Amino acid sequence: MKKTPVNIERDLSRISRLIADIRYAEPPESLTEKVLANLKPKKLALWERLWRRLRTPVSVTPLKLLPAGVSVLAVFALAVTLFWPSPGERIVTERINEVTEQGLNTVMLFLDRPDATDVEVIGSFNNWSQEGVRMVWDKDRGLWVGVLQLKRGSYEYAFRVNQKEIVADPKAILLRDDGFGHQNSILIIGNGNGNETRI
Amino acid sequence: MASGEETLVHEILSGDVNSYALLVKRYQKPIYNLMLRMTGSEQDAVDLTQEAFVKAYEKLEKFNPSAPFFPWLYTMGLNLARDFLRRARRSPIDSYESENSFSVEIDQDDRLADQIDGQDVMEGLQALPVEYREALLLRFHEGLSVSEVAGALGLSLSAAKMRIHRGLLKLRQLLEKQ
Repeated sequence: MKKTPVNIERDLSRISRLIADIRYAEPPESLTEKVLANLKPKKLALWERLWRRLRTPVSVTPLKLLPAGVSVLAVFALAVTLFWPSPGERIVTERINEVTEQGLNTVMLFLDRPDATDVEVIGSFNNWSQEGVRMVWDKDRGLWVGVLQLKRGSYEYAFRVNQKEIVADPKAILLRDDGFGHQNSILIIGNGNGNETRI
Repeated sequence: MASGEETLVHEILSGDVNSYALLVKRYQKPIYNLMLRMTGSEQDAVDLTQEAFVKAYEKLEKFNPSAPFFPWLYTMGLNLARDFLRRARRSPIDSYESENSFSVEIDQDDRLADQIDGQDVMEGLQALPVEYREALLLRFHEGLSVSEVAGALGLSLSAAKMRIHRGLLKLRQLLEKQ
């Protein structure tokens, strides 16, 4: 069969469609996590940080470092007082600008489950111990709030609702299958530099 | 630009490192596959993909947030892969063939087999010079515009058009021989 220019163009069109349909290899699941573990948050100039905070009430205002040994509940109470979200906007997870003398970062987790009567955070930070970190119902926010103090690193966690239901953080960017039909959320604590981090 | 990327870039530059996870998740597959094509090694591809994303993050202040992110990232990834091969004193998968030395002889009697599939095309692409292969994949697999392909490969618009068309002809020629 002779190839006319029309037929050649038809071949090229077909080849371009086949290129579009090529199936790419999947990268390893841990790739995103590994990339993020190597990154430090960008540091804004002071005026940029002030301007940003003025414009975004949901952002975390720097906390003065509390003396080492202050209880988690004290940090939580202060944080709740200072960092009220604007109406219609909800904070999901934050690392507060708070590093203790032991190098622990304070992380606040939030879960929107008004129907629950009891919520805990469980995770790799305490080897998935049955003793989770109890979350507190914040009636004004309409959210369950939990506070963790963690070293730098990568953690998996989930919420245990009403002592039985295991749920991943619905707003977590990174998730990993636990091999038992559930997904765990991933929390990465990098180098703190004074900027808040949403996870 | 893909939806929300400009906002994401602003958030990252404001200190929200986790917003970068969305860009990594969105583009890790094409960058990983670029590295696989360049090195032929899964481990090298993983390392180079990570390196490309870390480097792009570190240089993000220089990126114009109103421009598409992927061609910029891709250029960085391609340069990293070339540097890696140079350092390892490994030849690229093929040698560069300049525009002037390129010629396609169209055999009027050859017929492109009907049963040619994606696997054949991938093998044909792998046999093409890098510049043609990547131009074709950026244009047709990633869906970049010709002008974005030109930007990613450092070409003029007309050179990018020519690269894509000649790449298709060359690939067709290779497929005819199969």
